[in-house]
Amino acid sequence: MTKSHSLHRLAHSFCFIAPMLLGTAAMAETNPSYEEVERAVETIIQIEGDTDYGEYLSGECVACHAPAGTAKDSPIPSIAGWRREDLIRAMVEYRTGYRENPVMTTAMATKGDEEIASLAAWYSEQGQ
Amino acid sequence: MAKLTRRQFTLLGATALANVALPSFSFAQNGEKPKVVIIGGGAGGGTIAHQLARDAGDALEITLIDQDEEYTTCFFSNLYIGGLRSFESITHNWDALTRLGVKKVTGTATGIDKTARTVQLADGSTHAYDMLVVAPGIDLIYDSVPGYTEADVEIAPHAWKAGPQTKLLKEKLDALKDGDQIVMVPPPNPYRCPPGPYERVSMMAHVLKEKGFTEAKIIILDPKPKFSKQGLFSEGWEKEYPGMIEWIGPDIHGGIKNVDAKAGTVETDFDTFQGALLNIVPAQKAGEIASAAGLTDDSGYCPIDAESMRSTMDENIFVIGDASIAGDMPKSGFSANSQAKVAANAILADLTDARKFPARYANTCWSLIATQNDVKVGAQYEPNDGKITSTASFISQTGEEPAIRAANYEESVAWYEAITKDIFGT
Ligand SMILES: Cc1cc2nc3c(=O)[nH]c(=O)nc-3n(C[C@H](O)[C@H](O)[C@H](O)COP(=O)(O)OP(=O)(O)OC[C@H]3O[C@@H](n4cnc5c(N)ncnc54)[C@H](O)[C@@H]3O)c2cc1C
Repeated sequence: MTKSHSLHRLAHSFCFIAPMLLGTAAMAETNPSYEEVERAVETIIQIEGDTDYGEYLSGECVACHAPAGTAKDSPIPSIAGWRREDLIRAMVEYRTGYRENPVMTTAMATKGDEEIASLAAWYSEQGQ
Repeated sequence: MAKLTRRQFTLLGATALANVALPSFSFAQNGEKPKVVIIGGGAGGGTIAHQLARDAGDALEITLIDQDEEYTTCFFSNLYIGGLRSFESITHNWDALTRLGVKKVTGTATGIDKTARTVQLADGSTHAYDMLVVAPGIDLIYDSVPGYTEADVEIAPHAWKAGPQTKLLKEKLDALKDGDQIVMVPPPNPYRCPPGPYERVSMMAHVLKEKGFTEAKIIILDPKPKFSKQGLFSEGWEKEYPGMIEWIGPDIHGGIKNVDAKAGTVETDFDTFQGALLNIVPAQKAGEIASAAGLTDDSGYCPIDAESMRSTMDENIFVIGDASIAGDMPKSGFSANSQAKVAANAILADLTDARKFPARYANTCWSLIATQNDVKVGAQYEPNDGKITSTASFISQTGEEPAIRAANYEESVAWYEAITKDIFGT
């Protein structure tokens, strides 16, 4: 399965794939409809991310996702070079509680649309 | 001397500075690059050296001073004690950073001349800086535990700075026989790694259990009435090591009266406890160099500006990691790494044309109770009223599924690999 294919599946059949990729992922108790995720993704994708800001904010991510990406079999996925939309979608899924890992949920609780757009802009430009 | 404003500096551009002499510029003169000196190459100092070298290696001269040739992480040192990691796997060096252009100096910083902007080393050499980062971690206040002295660390190790102490503690642990008792005295707040002493006890219990010991015991004589992740640890100990671990708080023991390392006793108001192994962790303060340089306040730690990690005592000095007073943030490797990034951003904004962004901090601490039983706590932070303040947080729940705890452990292993790459540039 190609990466973008698997990410696409991840977004839509989350329950099936997520536990493999995310280890501790579990559905949030109050399961928001996927509409809410879609709406936020649509809004954020319109925002031109500030890559400098994204790079600065990514300082928090690399403590777990590693500067140049994690190992293949790592429970923490590499995120460098993901498609912008996939990055935005993943972050929004955590922020809405659609997808849940306490570390990611807490990290995204403090990220506004601007921050998500900037992180996605930066990470999508990184080599893998 | 007139200081160039940030705007003028930006207009000049950082690279131009390398070639153009600027007589009125207060940072770098005679065409030299601005000098950043970092004291301490651990979680905080290593990260900032890596960050600055990566982002502005051509525009800055970066010197990293550490007293040692290599660095053993305190994080995961409990896993070494538990027999789950090798000592080599938690020991790192600064070679990759030197390949990025960082100048590593092995020596002990003994003083800082804030007016001349120089750092003095024990060997008599001095190092000039435009910006200084102080990241020496902690020092131990041995006599905070009555009867305990620095000389006693060879008999009753603290192992709160990783290295020979960690090996010594493991040797002593591995030599115990069934029926022996361990007495641990954790430190009072604030100290590095709030859940650390309790993870340590868990890993010691793991070793005793693996050996099939049924009579060995671990007594914790805590100066604190409660401790980090207490509910999670208490539940975990009961499940994994029933009857082996006893935690005694100050309302029961009434205070530590005397430690006699040679006799292997800890005397409290309540009783005298005998241990075949004593693990005594005294109270802590910012690494000695911080107080020697007048960067600490009455608490023994260094006040900083929450927006930048800049010392409130001197605008050309930043303090990061355990030595700093970081508000709600615990003293952890993760916190030190996070603070390093905020400080790096502020330093680059001062010395190059980089933009300054609002300070944002994060921390997650994983603790291993037993193999495959790992709990975590974490938070986001930002400045509020001059103090680094928690804005969102989580903690593992009691009664969680074993699968979640096992996944936490896998996650912590991935975190260790990632953060050590981020600190040492490997
Ligand atoms: C048992 C234990 C378990 C832990 N587990 C975790 C964990 O799971 N996760 C986590 O995030 N944190 C953990 N920590 C905490 C973590 O180790 C510290 O918070 C972190 O190392 C602090 O980083 P620092 O840069 O401030 O200091 P340090 O990492 O201690 O680095 C300081 C460096 O400065 C050098 N130095 C000091 N003074 C001088 C001087 N005068 N001249 C030259 N060099 C000097 C020292 O040699 C050292 O290399 C744990 C700690 C312990 C004790």
